[in-house]
Amino acid sequence: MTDVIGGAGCSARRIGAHGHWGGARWPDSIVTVTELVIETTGLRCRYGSFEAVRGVDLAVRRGELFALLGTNGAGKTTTMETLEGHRAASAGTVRVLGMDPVVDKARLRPRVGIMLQESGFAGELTVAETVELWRSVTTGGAGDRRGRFDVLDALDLAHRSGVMVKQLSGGEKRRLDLALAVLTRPELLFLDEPTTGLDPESRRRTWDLVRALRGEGTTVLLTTHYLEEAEELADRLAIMHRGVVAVEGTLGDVLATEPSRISFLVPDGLSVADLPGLPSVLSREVVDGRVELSTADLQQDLGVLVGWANARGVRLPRLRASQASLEDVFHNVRGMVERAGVAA
Amino acid sequence: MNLAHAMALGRTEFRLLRRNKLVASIAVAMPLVVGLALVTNGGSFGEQGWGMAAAVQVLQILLMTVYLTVTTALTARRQDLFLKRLRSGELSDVTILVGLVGPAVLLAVVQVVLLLGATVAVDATPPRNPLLVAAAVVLGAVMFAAAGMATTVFTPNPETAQITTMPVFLGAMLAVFVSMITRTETVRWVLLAIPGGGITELIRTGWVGARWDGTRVGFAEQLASALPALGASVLWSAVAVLAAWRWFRWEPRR
Repeated sequence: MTDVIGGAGCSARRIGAHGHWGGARWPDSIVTVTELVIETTGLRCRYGSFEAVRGVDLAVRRGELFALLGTNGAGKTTTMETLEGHRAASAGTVRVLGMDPVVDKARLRPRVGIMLQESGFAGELTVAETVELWRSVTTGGAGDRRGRFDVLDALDLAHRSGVMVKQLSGGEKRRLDLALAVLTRPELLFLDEPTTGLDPESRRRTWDLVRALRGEGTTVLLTTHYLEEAEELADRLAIMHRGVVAVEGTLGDVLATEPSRISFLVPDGLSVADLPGLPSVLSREVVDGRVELSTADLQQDLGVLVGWANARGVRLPRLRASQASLEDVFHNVRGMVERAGVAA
Repeated sequence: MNLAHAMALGRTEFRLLRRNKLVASIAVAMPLVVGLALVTNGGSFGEQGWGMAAAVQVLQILLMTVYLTVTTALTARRQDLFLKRLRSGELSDVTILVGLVGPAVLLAVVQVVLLLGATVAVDATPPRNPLLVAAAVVLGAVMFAAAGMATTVFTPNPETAQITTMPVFLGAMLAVFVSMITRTETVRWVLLAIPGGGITELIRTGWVGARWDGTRVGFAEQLASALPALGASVLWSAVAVLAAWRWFRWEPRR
């Protein structure tokens, strides 16, 4: 395991108290550089005087699905576009499949699939013609190429293959975007908000396809607004805010950065002072007779508390214990970044 | 550049040109109609009439089939975010541009060959100096293709291309028609300063084998007399290419 950070007993990296990156880089010494499909260190991207990305370290391993979460303007798309080679970094290093995405674009592109957040087609081509065009201007990297109706079938577009692109719905266009991005079975797939604007059924279908590709060994870097999408698909994830990565790790790691909560009413006949001390409590509040604890180790503290109550035959009215959700972490990221002084 | 990829893109572009009635009529129908009307009328413009007819034919093809079509098509592809999509794949920027601009240039060359061929058939006299005529067609194609790319910079959508292309379009047509009616030295230099003016002179003089003022001269003197027109055309082509290179945008402005 990695270093324990902030006493929270987690292996996620997060911003330390002094605005530095906490934690070790990678826990396993056997993870070598060649197994990193994407690696950035100190990545910065500037548009004129505005710096959209301000020092991002990312490491995506082969075969993993890595999700980049964040609010609008957090720098996700700029990071993606830099990794794809659409723009050069203003500082820092970027390696994708061991190459520089801008300089080695011609060698890199056949091995990656890119689904931009916003892109289009010639409206007066049919779906089938669009797929045919894309097939004829790609060479493909990894393996045998999908048949036209393979990829359209997988995304429920086969019945629309004779329809002009300009007549497709927003969700259908988005699925066509994905169909083209995966047409050549790329080694590495960039998906920038792949399910924005999709209905639940289409979203499910997209998830199934992404999962299937991952099963084949495709490495995926995904950005999304939907927390459940990251929970559903990601091996690891990072939450960005204002151009920096605030939290990063597996879902469990990331959830562990946010304290769990225990709450109950002070039992009749007892006062707050009678309650036991709990080993991992981070903060305690009492409001209208209701005790609210946040804890770095829910199981241990809950065990001590319940053990104490049981031993005395005391009931703890309206006892509740909950682990943090990704949503809690997401909402606290802003404060976290600002406390760390990085947002100045 | 990847030729196979550029050709695949070019085939699609042909298909798109065919499907858009407005663009198809600008690129093919109009130049052919105007050109055919001139094919039999060269003799009515006096001694040098066939040279003038050829110049009008080539210029209107370059303007409509290349300049207007390139401006309209690239603006439409940019607006559709199709250019952005193409750049997310394996295609280099040069391949994309060759694939998208190539069909318009190819259509123009085919029409020039057809119309000039028809003119030769009617007049029964081939151009006296085909070198100058060919140079004018090549330089004109480069100049107006690049000018079309540069014009997309201030063309917000394909519909407004009709307006944004007007200055260059009218300037070049003015150069053609003024050169038909007057031939003083001052006017000649003014016309050479207009994009398309040099192309006009090259075709007019190359066709009939004359000096700039219409005096029939030998081959060597034809070339010497054509140097200012060649220079002006090369210069305008270079300006257009540099402007396109410097300012062309792949994505719509937000």
